[in-house]
Amino acid sequence: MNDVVIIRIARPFFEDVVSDLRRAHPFAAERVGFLFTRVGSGPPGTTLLFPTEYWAVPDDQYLDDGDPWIGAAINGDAIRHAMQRIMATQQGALHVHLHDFSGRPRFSGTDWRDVPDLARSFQHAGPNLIHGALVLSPDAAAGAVWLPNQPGDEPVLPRIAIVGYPLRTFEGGPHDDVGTLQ
Amino acid sequence: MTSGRYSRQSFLGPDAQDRIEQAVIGVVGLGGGGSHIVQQLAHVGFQRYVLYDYDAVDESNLNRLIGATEADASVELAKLEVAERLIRGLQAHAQVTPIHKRWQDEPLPLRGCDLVFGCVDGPATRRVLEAMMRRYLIPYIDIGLDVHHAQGEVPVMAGQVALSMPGDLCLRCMGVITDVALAAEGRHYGDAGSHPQVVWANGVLASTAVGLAVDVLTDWTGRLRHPIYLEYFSNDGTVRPSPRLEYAPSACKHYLLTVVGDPTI
Repeated sequence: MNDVVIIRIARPFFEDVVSDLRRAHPFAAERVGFLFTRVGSGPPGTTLLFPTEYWAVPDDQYLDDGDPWIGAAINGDAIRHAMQRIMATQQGALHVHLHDFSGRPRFSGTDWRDVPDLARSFQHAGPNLIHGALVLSPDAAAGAVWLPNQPGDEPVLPRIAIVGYPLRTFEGGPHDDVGTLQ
Repeated sequence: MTSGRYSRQSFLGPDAQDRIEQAVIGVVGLGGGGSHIVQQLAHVGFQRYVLYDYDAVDESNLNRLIGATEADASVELAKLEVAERLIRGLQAHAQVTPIHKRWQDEPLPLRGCDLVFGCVDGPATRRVLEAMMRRYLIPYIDIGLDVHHAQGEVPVMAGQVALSMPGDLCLRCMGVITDVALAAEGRHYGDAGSHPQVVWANGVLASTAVGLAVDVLTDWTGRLRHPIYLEYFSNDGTVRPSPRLEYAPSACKHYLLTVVGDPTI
């Protein structure tokens, strides 16, 4: 089974996504979106993922649930749109949001609570694809993905490269520090 | 690992050595240029290598192949083994993946690299290698050297170092690869002969290329924001940005950032 995942994202695209996620929302504390990824064959045991398409959740698909601990909650329409896109393109999906401070971001407890369920939902739409989440900062990224037919909740933590000037790489694997699965 | 060993390069930045040590570097071709590059990478502190070469050392390599000895030539030691020995002498615990094949015959390990040096002959091979690097979003640094000797003239030795960064101009856009050069190579296919090479010129190109890679990874100059195509003129002793860049397009038309990953039917 492939158990190493490398995500490569071109810097111009990365910066566009960061810029979009920075837009203020009428009531949500942060924005979210979805990245759809193409796949590449890498060294033995390694899968390469290339996010090439970004879909920003529209303003009216956020939920105003008044919970100050949740930066953004989105409704079923947003999830359905992402699932339809997975089915139509046969590309895996990564939930993406921004922690707008410099340095390596980490998933919050809320992220770890919600993202595994989201990835499982996406597996229904694209069972042979890799789904998960990325959290970005203006100059870094961290991720968690679930492989097809992967048992349990424990994600694979991908190595990530932001490709451009400068080139930035972030280690993945079991010793990566991207937060704690609760 | 940012101990005294690297204290003289600490100006590269507080995180520079970590970035250098984490990077997976591919080197395709371990002849006159590639052997120089590997040696310098090991000195700088790189720890993770994917190396490609299918050739063995012979006597004609000894004028330029860094690390090679007369004993290596006498037993026709693989250039890969010379390179790995060079690395191990400086970085005993380095992760080295040596591949004794043409890169086209086993490309998957190369796709796991963060940055690749191409030290290959001819524009056609360059073009194919760059195409794969673009497809898998890998920065590619190309070096090349040639000697032109017109009858009755002093030989002119010149070369180039160019960075093909995904999302930026490619080697064709910059004029490193041209239709004229591809056609000329096609006409002489199978009749390449031996390419003139000397150690000092290879050294200039390799040093320039390694410096470029370190800057891409560490951003220590904070100035690497433009297409990079440097021309080397050995007769003048100069390295300078190619004037061809003035005529380059503002954006690459050959490789799109959306056409990446394994081709799908």
